[in-house]
Amino acid sequence: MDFIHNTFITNHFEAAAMILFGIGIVTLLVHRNLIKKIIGLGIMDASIFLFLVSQGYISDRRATIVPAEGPIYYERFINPLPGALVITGIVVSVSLTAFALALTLRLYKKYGTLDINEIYLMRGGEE
Amino acid sequence: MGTALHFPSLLIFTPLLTAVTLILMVKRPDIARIVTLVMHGVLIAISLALAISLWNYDGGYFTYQMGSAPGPFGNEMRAGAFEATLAVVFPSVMFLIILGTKKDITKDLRENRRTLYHVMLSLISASLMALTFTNDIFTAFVFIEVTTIAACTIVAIKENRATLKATIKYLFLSIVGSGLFLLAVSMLYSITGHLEMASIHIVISELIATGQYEFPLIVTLVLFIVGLAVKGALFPFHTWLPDAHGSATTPSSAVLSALVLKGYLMILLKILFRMYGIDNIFDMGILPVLFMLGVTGMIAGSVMALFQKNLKRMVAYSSVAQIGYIYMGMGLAHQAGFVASSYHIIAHAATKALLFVAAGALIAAAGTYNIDEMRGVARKNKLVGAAFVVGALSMAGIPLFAGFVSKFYLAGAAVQAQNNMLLVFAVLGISAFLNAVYYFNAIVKMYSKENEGAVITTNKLGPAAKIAFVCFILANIALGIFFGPLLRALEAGFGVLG
Repeated sequence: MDFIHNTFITNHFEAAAMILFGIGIVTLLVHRNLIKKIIGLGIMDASIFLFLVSQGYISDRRATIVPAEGPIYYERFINPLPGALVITGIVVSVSLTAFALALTLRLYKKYGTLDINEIYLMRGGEE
Repeated sequence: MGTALHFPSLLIFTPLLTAVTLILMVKRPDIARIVTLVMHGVLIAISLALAISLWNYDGGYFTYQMGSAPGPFGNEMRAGAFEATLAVVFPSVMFLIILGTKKDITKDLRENRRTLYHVMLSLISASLMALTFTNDIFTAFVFIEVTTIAACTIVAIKENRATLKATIKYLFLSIVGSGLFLLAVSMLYSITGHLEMASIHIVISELIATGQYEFPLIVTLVLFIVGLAVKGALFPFHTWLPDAHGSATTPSSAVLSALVLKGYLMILLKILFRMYGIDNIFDMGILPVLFMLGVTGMIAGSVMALFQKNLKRMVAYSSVAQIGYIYMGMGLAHQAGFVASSYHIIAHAATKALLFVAAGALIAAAGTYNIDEMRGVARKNKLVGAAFVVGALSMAGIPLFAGFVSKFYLAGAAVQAQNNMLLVFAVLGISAFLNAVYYFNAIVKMYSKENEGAVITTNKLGPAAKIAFVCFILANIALGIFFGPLLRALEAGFGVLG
């Protein structure tokens, strides 16, 4: 019971993130449809962002928006660094997704299918 | 150190800014090519100056603060003799590849794509430099992704059915690799509270000394290694490599094999040495796994190369084997093994770039990828044929060529490490023999008499391409003869890498 309590109640963000990561990576690797693979990529990246953000969150504290004047109470703020990392990560993830979608579009034009197995089975044309 | 302090950031920002400005020249691909070449010449000059000052620098390394916040929370770069040496190698190889492959680019790419191609090559140079010098694991992740997108783009840019198919495979496996890497970074951040490598090392050493977080640390290390091994084409994860390298346009194959794979190895070395600390790594028992995978890759890659009829795929499978050598050297769990591995990183960069560029020129002359139909092609293309022979001799480990030195020192490292000595000797011997078999098979066919009715032409090379081939040949021979100073520099560099 202790194990379950620790894993799923105390660390529910981390547990959810790992479950989502599993779903994402399996979707990415196992699904035959290219679009579903890209959805898997999105889930995988989002799960890591959830994990990261939850590392910076401290309960009952607010976002790190420092007032222009007046005293600054650092103990009222959450850790801002993981948030910054997540923003960078989202940028990276968006560009990868865009690239993957563009490539999928081109593949569909050349092969007429989104099924990766069918694409592998077709002759590549080695010119 | 003086002005040399600023060189690492210059080495990163020069190619980045060039890449951005090149976009303005979409209509003038020839100018873009010259700008890219000049920019790489500048990079070589800067990195040489940096390397020379670091080889003679007693302190061994320096850190350079990026932006206004100091470490450990600000972003830092760190340069030592090892990083500086590789920073000379990367742009030099890139320069020679671009110099030697003008014809392939003109033939394979539509005119409005050629400038963008050079943008991607500049981006790869920039991210290789960033991976070499960064001292921050999250910056490393960002530049790994830059490399991934740029590398996929230079495969897909030829845009026929084969390259698109290869790119989608490459892209999805790379995405899995970077997902694992990012997961490892976030876990490590939650354990240690740092992203700067040296600070992570301090915390990890404390944790290991007090016996805390033993299992999570091993998990993060495994995630790092698997993530980078997928991108770096270590044996069971190599499936994307032959397709991507075999079908892409010639300069892309050369850049991917000689440079992109090495960027990932560079960051792996820094993770092992600087972040975890090499003594901690020895205790974690992860290196024997790398050793076995490396050994399997050496044999499996060579055996698969043996059965290839397509010249480029043969050279690509040979890369799988050569990457195996590098991981095997790391897996020996000894400083000498790492030095030999890093020498092989340099030797393989010089040799495989030469082999791909030469193979591309020979394929263009013969009008076919099939080795059996290439009879006589080297007779009509003497310089390219000679270059291919030099590359093959180096890969087969013939003395006086680059590949021999690294194989010799890998064997020496196995003796020093007292670690699976017989297995290393046997595997090195078998792999060298297999390399010799398939490369010499190809060479004999290239120099034998033409088939009846075959149309073998002479690939008329421009002066630039000729210079590139001569430089490649000289570089391979120089790496095989004057290896002493380079090895000493790498050894000194490993002393201060951690």
